[in-house]
Amino acid sequence: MTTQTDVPTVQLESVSKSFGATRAVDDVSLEIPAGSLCGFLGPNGAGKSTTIRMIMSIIYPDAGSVRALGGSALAAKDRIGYLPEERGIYRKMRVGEYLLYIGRLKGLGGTDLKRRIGYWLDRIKLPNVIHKRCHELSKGMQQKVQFLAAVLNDPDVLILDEPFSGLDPVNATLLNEIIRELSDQGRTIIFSTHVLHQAEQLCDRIVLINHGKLLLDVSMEEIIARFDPRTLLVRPLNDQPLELDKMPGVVDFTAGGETGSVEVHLEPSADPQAIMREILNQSPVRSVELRRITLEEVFVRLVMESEGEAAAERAREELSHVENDDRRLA
Amino acid sequence: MWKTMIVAWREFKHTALTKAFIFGTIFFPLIIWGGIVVGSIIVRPSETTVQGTLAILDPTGEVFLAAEQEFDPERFKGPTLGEMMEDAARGTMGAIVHLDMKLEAHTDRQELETLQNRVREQELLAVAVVGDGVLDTANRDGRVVLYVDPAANPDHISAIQRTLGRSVVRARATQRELDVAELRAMLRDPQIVTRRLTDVGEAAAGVELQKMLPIAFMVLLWICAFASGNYLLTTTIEEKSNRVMEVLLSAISPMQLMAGKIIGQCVVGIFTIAVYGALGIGALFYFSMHDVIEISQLVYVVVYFFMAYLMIAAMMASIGSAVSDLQEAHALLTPAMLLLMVPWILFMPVSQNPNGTIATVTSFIPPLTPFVMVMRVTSSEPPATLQIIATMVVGWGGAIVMMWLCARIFRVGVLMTGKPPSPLELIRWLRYS
Repeated sequence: MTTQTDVPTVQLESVSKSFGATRAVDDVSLEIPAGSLCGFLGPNGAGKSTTIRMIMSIIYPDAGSVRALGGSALAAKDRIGYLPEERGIYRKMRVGEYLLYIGRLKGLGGTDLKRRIGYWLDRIKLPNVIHKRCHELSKGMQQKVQFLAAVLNDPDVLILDEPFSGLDPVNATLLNEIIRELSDQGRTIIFSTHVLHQAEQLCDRIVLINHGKLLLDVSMEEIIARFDPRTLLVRPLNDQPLELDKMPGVVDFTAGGETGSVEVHLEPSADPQAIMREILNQSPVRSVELRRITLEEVFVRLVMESEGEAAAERAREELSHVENDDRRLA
Repeated sequence: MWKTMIVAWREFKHTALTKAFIFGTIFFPLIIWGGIVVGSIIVRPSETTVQGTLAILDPTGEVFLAAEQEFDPERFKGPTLGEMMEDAARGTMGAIVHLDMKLEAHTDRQELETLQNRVREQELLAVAVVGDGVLDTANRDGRVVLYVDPAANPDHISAIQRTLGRSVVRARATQRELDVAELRAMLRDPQIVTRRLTDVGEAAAGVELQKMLPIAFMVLLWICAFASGNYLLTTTIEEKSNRVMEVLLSAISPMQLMAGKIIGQCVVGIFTIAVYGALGIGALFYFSMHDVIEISQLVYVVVYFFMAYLMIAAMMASIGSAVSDLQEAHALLTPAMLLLMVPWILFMPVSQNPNGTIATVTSFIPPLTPFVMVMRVTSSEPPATLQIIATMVVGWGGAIVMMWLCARIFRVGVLMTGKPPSPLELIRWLRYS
């Protein structure tokens, strides 16, 4: 059960960071409430990893301030778990030795640390690897060991930078389960990805970044309310025609989707429930549902609003490339 | 501080507690040292006894009479130490030869051909022909000619030659009614022992060793500091190339990481210096020459090791943090290596003149200070205390400045990937952090 509160766990105020002539993060302000499962989204090079590194006090902003757990992340490092985008491991070290080392650096020790390592190795389905050298593990297994290193200290805040990248579907599902479980325990999870549909399934809060600028920082409910497409998806039964053009509250409709569905666009004041009932009364249908907006559509719309049509088209193309690459990898 | 110590322990463990390090640093020198000690105990020249007949053609018979005494097996004790050293210097040192020979006296020179034929037929081992005037010390042309079989053993020939020589000397002494034993005792060089006067008493001088000591200390310092710095470079590059750096920095600050790595490798260096130092001191005790080293010199070596190590570590940690692999490191290592080779060029002029201009000036150039000063303070003419204090201030100041610069490069460099930076970019990094 998520225990979200209004107390911000992570706060950024007018944060900017440049590398040479490149402005990686540009005047970003945001607050991530305690207990939320927050998706940090944007295409590659948007500034997600730089922002996360500043939250972790690995690098420092040129301007603005960053606070984590009420102070500097440097002081709270033992309460934060971090899985960086670039996975790292000591190749010649044994798995157990590596985890003991990271655990000790996180302030753990003694039998409790060994107990935690044993528990988590079982939990992520990696038994019998404790004495193996890291380079003997497959890439996916190494990634799970790295995830384990991030959660070993039972963190209040868990920051995962592209956690599903390179994982097979079985391990991705396992990781998904664990992330939900940790979120249900009340931990704040910041989860960065460029694959927007993953965030849709998992997150209750979304932060959208593009070219170092913050586009959006709201809850999923707010996104649904704010970007409600006012559209119903209807799949008629036996190709029976629907008489939608004279129905009150309907602006227009488009038929002929791949699945034979009809998109019914509603007036802003129309009650979708009433129109759904009306359609069902009119003729039997295979299904009728309220169409939900995708994060990709939200992203493109926000880019269009802030940077114009051409930029939105570029953003759409970027996202479709990323999505295709991701599918190919999977 | 605790996290720094955890990093330091990992650095030490993964560098020093490895098979390669233990064999290379501890066992290999131990094996060499043990080999020398054991070898000196068990390896002795082989001993042989020469049996046969030596004919001495001596018209006067005086040399033959002397030879009878010199060739007496009871009297013959093998070559003296001086004779063995002479043999060694000529590269002819061989077996220890005992002579158990029969002597035949001949006075008629016309018998020579007959005697030579008996040698050819191996009836005789050799024929010694005593020339005229051999007993006359003013006659430099007097000689004894020894005829031997072509297959005769060179060690045996040497032993016979030496004993014939002694026989001639004995004959000369007898002719002049001198006591041979006393004469030989008079001619023996006495042992010269040099004692160095110290504030509290006296100590053995070991003059040659004393000359070598400053160079040995400099080499020890350089090897240990450089080896540890090199380990620091490779472990930093390994952490960058394995992408483990960001994981570490999520748990500790860059400064904690850098400090831990430097401390860990410093302990490796101290460990190495202790091993080599103990072997060296052990060798001095073994050869009863331990008086040549004073405790204060060992303290100086340790103090200058820390100074040298911090300077080299600053260079190596900066380079290691700035590059992604060893190949990239080579470009930045070249100027650092050129600087580190300077002590090897300086060791001759500094050891020959520890208070000369070159030694004094280079003592005040921080990267060189520990190497030059360790040679100067352990030399027979150490510099004035004021100069030692002044160079300590300059040296430690330099080490602190280098560490400060390293810290600024390290915290930027550890997260940088891609093209290695140029020296100009490194300077820019100093402004970033």
